[in-house]
Amino acid sequence: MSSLTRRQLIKSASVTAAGSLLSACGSKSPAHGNAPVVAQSSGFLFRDVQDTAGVHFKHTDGESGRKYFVEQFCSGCGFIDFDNDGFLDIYAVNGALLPGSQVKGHPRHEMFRNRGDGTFENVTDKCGLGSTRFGGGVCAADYDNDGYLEIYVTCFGKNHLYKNKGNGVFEDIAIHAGVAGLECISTSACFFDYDNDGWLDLYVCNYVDYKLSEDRFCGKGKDHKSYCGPEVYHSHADTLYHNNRDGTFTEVSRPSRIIQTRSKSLGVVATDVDNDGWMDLYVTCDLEPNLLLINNRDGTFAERGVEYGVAYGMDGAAHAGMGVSAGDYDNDGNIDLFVTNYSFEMNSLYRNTGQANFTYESLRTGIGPPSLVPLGFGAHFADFDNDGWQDIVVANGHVLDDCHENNQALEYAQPLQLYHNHGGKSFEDVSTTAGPAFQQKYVGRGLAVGDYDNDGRLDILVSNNKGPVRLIHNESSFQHNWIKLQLQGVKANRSAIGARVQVKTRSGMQTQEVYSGSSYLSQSDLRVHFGLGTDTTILEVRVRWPGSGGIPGAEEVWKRLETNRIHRLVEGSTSNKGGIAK
Amino acid sequence: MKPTSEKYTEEHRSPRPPQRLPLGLLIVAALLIIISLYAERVSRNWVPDADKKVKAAASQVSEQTFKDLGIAATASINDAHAQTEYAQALISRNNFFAAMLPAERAVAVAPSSSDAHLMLALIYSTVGYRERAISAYREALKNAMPESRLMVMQKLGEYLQSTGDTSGAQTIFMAARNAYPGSPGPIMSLASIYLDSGKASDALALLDPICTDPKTAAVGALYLNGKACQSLGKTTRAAELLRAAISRQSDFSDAYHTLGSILCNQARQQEGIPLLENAVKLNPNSGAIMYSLASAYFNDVTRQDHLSLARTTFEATLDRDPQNEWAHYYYGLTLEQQSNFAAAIREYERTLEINPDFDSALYRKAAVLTQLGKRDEAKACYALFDKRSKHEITSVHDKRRNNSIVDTAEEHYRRGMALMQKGDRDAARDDFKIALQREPGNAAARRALQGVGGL
Repeated sequence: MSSLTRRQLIKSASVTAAGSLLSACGSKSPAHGNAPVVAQSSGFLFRDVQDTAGVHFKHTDGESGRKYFVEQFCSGCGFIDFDNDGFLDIYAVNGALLPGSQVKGHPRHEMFRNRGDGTFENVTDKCGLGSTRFGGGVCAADYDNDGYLEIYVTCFGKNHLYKNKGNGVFEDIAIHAGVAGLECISTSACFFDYDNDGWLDLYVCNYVDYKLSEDRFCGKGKDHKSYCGPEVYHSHADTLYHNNRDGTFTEVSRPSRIIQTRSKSLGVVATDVDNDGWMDLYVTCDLEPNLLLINNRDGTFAERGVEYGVAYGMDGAAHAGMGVSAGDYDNDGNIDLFVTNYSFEMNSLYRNTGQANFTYESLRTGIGPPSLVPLGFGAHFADFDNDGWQDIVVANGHVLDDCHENNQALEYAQPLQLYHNHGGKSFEDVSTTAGPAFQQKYVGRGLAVGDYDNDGRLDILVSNNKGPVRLIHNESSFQHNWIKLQLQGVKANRSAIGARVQVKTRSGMQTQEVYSGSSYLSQSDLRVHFGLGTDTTILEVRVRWPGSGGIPGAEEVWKRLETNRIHRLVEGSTSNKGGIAK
Repeated sequence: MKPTSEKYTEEHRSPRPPQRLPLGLLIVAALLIIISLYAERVSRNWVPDADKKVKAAASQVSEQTFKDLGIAATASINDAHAQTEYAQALISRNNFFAAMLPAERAVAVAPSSSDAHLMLALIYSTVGYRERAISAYREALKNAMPESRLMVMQKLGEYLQSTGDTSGAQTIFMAARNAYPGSPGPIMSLASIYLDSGKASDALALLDPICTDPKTAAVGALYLNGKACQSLGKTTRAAELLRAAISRQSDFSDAYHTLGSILCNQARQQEGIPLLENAVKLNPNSGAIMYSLASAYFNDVTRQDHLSLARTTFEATLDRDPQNEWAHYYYGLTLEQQSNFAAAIREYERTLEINPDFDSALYRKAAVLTQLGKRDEAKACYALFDKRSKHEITSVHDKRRNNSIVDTAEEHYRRGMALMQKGDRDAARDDFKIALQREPGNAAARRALQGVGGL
């Protein structure tokens, strides 16, 4: 009302003459009856194939009708090759029925084994992985170095550690191993070797202090309950478990100084942000500053999120940090960070300028504005077109099923987003031209990336609240080369979690790491995939192995590995010239 | 005027056929026209600056008239008309203090003249004599003719609102609404008060009934309804109403501004920016509109030149509104994005001068210091920022926690009883209802709900 006086308003009450229609405001919006502008194809093409592939799964949020706090933000999913046959299997975490539910049956977590022909079979019963606990997230790694991947599942309540017996059967040994955790909401988790002893430790995010009996009432009108936000609950400290090398762990949260008085953690990634060979941790927190736990190399960590520029958004606000991905998007050899946030908070892209100094790049790169309205959860850096630059994919979905009533710009179910990386300088939102999978709307949560059919194109797995787990096949037709590396530690942890891999071609150098966990509540393919663009020759592949014996790992270099193949690189075997035939 | 003569009536009934002029006469007339046009042109050249001389002569007349009015007013102190005319002439020259005396005389001479009181009220309100202005408005209202009462009530209400007496204004507008139920003016004024007080729902309740047909609803009502919907998150409806307002009044800068802002806040800059640009064209002196456009440019990363556009527009904003802390902050952000770090710091510091609690500026200053390699200074800024930020977060979260209750029958009942003690029966009823939902056999909740008429 700054310039229009009330006198003018009263005057305008008598205006009856018809003016001309404003042409600008309605012409581009389909909602006003005009034909939408048909965008040019981006070349990306992704399609949902879960039904034809036999991945039949439906997530439950508890279906209580009571709007319990815990219902909003679960669950995750994982690409996990549990049987070592070279094909990624799928693990889908489920919720559980809550008091007040009228639904019959016992929803459970499910494992789908990849047959190698593009289809999957449900092997949950055979594997013993069908927990009926209210599940949060999943991460996987060979924590006991026996050659088989174990699976850690966080829950509302006690967590699971499934020991892989090697014969397709798992046993829950969480209590015996000392990692069952507390009766709270645990969210993301990751295995990583923080003390470089060659054995994987475990970091578990714990969200808030919560019990069903203490669920709080929030809502606009006093008789209309809406889901509460995390601010009405107190945070619960995260947990760090040190691997005792005998199948068990010791909780070291306090001596390691990872405990923060305020966290409300949802996502975590273990990555070496300062390039010193010791794994650090970046933890995304909901309405609290994110945490950057720098490894002091003596079994302790120091929280440096604020001074390194990754605790807050651009304007210093503590955002609702959900998922996180680490990757080198500008190919400068430093690992950058990407965080998904709430509606009307842009997703945060932090560029690592070296030695863990970060600059906020969401605006400059263009990735921020398209993410303003959607609510992001799972996210991953991945080169979907194999052009040598890491793109970003995000799973979106609101937490409030009545969000549209409060703001008509918001929707509960939202589409995925795909951001194409243009030479490390900018990102373009190509979602509308990336195929039918990016036009469907779901309440997205977890997201994992992996090449489930080993065709050299990265596929996507998305879990949805109260929805199916989506297997999204990459059918893009870019004629680009690639290489996929499966690392195996010998002195270092066998899964090579924390290994840093650099691939050098004529076009330049790319850097990636091997991660357990990350994204949101999810586990991606442990193999590292590099797109090579039109390069046909790999000059060298350099691997800095994770540490062992208490010191950072050594480097090894492979020369002239063949492109468009999957190679297994074993620590200490630099003469390895072979590869796994496709 | 109706015809009265028989002759006129006869002619009116049967008009005569037009007479034909002789051809020669026509030619002569044409020649005369041509000659006169030529003569005029010649005369212009003949008498240079004729137009200027004509205007000068006219202002001399106006000045003369003004002097005459003054003389007449001085000579006729008891002539209300003379006093009024002279006061109006002074008002037209923005001489409000000088106009006070003749206006007061006019009122003294014609105390029952509503117009005289109204003119005096205008003068008092302009020079800031609040109590006298209100008194004059009330006198104008007391003496107003029935057809003018609504207009005077509106003016009084507007004045009260503009001087901060919202409740007084609300009383007047409500009275006007009750007295003139069909008139949109008081409704819009009331709605405007509700909007300013954060009661968008109340504004919406008033405005919806008079906005059912966008083709006939008052444009101002459409606009205010759009604002109310915007406040309540009903952005789709807000956009419809604002578009309707614009289609009916294409020079409505505030409507363009609001609609453009709604779209830009949804990251639809490509739709919103043209609207904001229109708003600026229509109202180029508004700092608020200029700021909105600058922010929109800043966020429109699809344009290659968006930062340079943002920069110049923020500069224009600050020319108009140098104390706008947000404009300084975003100007600083723009400069930072353009790697003008020293200038960015200058703007962040200026923002903090205007508002020392502007924590975002403190944070960005720290970030820029880091980029410049000044780690110690940056660390100090970060530490201060972090302390303040966490304090604020704790405070907000504690408040929200304290405003929520554990969702059990017992807690809802307890809160209901507390609300009853405060006299809020409606809210108490809601809590008792929920208590019974949680525990249908809860006798205390049932009794309490019956007590407030909920069963």
